[in-house]
Amino acid sequence: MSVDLIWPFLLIGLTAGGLYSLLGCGVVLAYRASGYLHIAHAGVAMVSALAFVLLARHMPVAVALVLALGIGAATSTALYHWVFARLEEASMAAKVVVSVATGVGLQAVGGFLLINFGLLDGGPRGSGSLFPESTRITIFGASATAQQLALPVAALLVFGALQYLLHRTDLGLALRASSQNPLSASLAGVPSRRVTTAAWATTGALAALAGVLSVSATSFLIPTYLFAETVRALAASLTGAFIDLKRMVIAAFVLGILEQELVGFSPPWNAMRGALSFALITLVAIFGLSRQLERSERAGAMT
Amino acid sequence: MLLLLAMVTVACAQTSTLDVTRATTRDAGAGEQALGLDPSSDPGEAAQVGAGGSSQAGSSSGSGSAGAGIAAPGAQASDPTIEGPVKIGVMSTLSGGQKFVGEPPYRIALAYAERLNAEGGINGRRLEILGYDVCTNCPDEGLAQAKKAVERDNVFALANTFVVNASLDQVVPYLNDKGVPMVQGSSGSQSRKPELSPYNFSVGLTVPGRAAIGADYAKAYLAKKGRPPKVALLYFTDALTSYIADEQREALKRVGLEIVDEEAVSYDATMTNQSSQVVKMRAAGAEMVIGSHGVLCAFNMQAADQADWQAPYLCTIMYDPFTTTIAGHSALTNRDVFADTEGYATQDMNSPGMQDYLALMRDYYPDGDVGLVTLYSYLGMRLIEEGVRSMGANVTRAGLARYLEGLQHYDAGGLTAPFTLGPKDHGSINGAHIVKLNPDGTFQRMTSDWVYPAPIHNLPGPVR
Repeated sequence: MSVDLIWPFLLIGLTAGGLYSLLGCGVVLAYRASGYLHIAHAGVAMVSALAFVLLARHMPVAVALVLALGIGAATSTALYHWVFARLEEASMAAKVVVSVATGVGLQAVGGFLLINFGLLDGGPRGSGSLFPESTRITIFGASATAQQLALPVAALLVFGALQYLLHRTDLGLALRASSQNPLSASLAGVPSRRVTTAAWATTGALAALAGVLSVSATSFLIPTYLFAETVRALAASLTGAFIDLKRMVIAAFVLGILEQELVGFSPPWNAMRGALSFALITLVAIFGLSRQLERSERAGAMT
Repeated sequence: MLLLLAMVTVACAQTSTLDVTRATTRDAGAGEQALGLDPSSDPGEAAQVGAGGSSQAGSSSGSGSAGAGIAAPGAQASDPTIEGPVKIGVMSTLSGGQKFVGEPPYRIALAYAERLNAEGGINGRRLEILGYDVCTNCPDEGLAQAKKAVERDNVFALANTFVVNASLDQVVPYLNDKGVPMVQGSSGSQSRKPELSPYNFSVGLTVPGRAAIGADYAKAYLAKKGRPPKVALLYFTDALTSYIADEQREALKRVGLEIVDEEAVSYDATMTNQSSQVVKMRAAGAEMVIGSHGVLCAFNMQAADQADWQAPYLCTIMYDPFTTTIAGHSALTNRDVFADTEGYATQDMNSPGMQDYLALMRDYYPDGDVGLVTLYSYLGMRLIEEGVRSMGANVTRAGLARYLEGLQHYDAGGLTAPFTLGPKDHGSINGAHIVKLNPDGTFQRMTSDWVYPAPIHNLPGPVR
């Protein structure tokens, strides 16, 4: 691979990594809130992105963005109250099955809506874009669009905000207490259900943000929208045992960058970016996972 | 869903190599005892044993005539003259989320039969269409439904099955055993070894022809623009599309175009982000991108547009509104984008065949899309109708196979380039038009008449 291509690929990898990271923040927050592997996260992102595209046809994109974030939060909250909260005592296996089934259900709903709104192909390009299509930014000779660069910027901002929320605020403290021991937290006066609901609403809003930013960059939607990206976010989250945001973010960006750097190789390797990067991150996760889980158990599912 | 669409568009251009493999094994012995169907024998009579046999010229209007050597194990023993209505089975995806891609071939068959029956049928016989629901990649379901069609419903032939092409790997040898013709409505690797599946016919632009015509046009385009003859090759890594890329690679080399970069893209969500591929192709000095699939090209063009790279594209299987929407108005405005087509997008030619197809769509399938899928399906039904009509009262399955194999210079009223079938070629069309995609999703024909592979490719054709 030419050395000249390393930097352009790295810049593109940052956008992919930013998307994985943004999705991963939601995955980690859901796990920290109630111990769920939130596989349905992609479905929430897809539904929110669909809402954004439709709304943006009738109102300013900023308003559509806010409403889409609200729809994501509402969808996620509804899922928690109607489905996930009823399975708090269930085994992890049962929770995973329900989460997968919920994700598939959201895809089906999304597919129905996409077909009936004539949006199977994403609708006219440019509708619902957060930035003008011509906005292109050049960094050290490599260029990317504003839509692309918004993803890593948003991911880092969200990461910083979540870190602050979890470790520097009363809400974060309450969330940690509620997820560690809901009964004790309740006895201590922590409104566990309300705190967990707030966490799930935030998770939904994060899914919506990822969906909206992504659809702004690609202008197309399908029922399985962002599912593959969410799988990568889950892989990245695995490196931090679903509780360590910092590790997740680093892994997500490394994954995104490695995937793009692989394109620089000759066939068939340049087609293996998904599989090879995923295998790499999985290996890292396997070797570090047991220690992480052990630590998290000692800490009561919290770090 | 996206992958499904991609698969279907690939299926439109190809017949699964699995079909060939299975058929090879199954018919290895049968090939040695191939039955040469005597062109002079009456349709419907038992086949005579003989060598391969050569095709006979058809009528001046391009109708087919009997006369090819086809392996037909079992056919002669269970091929009675068909009485009553002519039953045509359509195996396609008729339910679930994939219905929107599988229903059109079935609907066009229904439309064709409805119009035909309203006009008195074929020699007084009604055409009856039976639908069989098969998912896009379910070989076991495909075989079960084929058995139901043949053994329970006694269908005369199968038609318009290309949407479920990937489900046919067990169906092809089964139909050969039973002597039931299938007009798939697609072409591809199957067309190179037709003798291995004697009852399997396809209607579409062959992959070698597609690749050769594209290479010829790319060379001429770059020369006209005064650009260096350097191209990038873009393809999926799956077996089906790789076959197209293999043919494109050879064709590009034959015409002297240098492939400065090859981008293989896996058949998954990573196809939607091809920014790195664009960076690489651009850095390699590619003056034009040659793509093996429209959807893949569309995403690549989107990335090229984001990178402000205005290279022209020439992609196969590109004439679909879906690909146009993915690429976006801007991507198509800032570059020349070409595709090959064996018929669709040549509506402006106003040929009788095209007018008849459009009339059928307008009058009997108004909610259907005028495009590749329905055009293939129309042509398949038309061939079956004409084959049955040619047999008069003695309608047999082997007779239909003989008719199809005997097609010489067949001209469906200008709907596609004239084509010839024969014992060595069950995949049909080698001529095409090159069209340019407009930003509004319409097409502009760039060639005044059907173009064929240049002699340098040493492929069949041109047909004059």
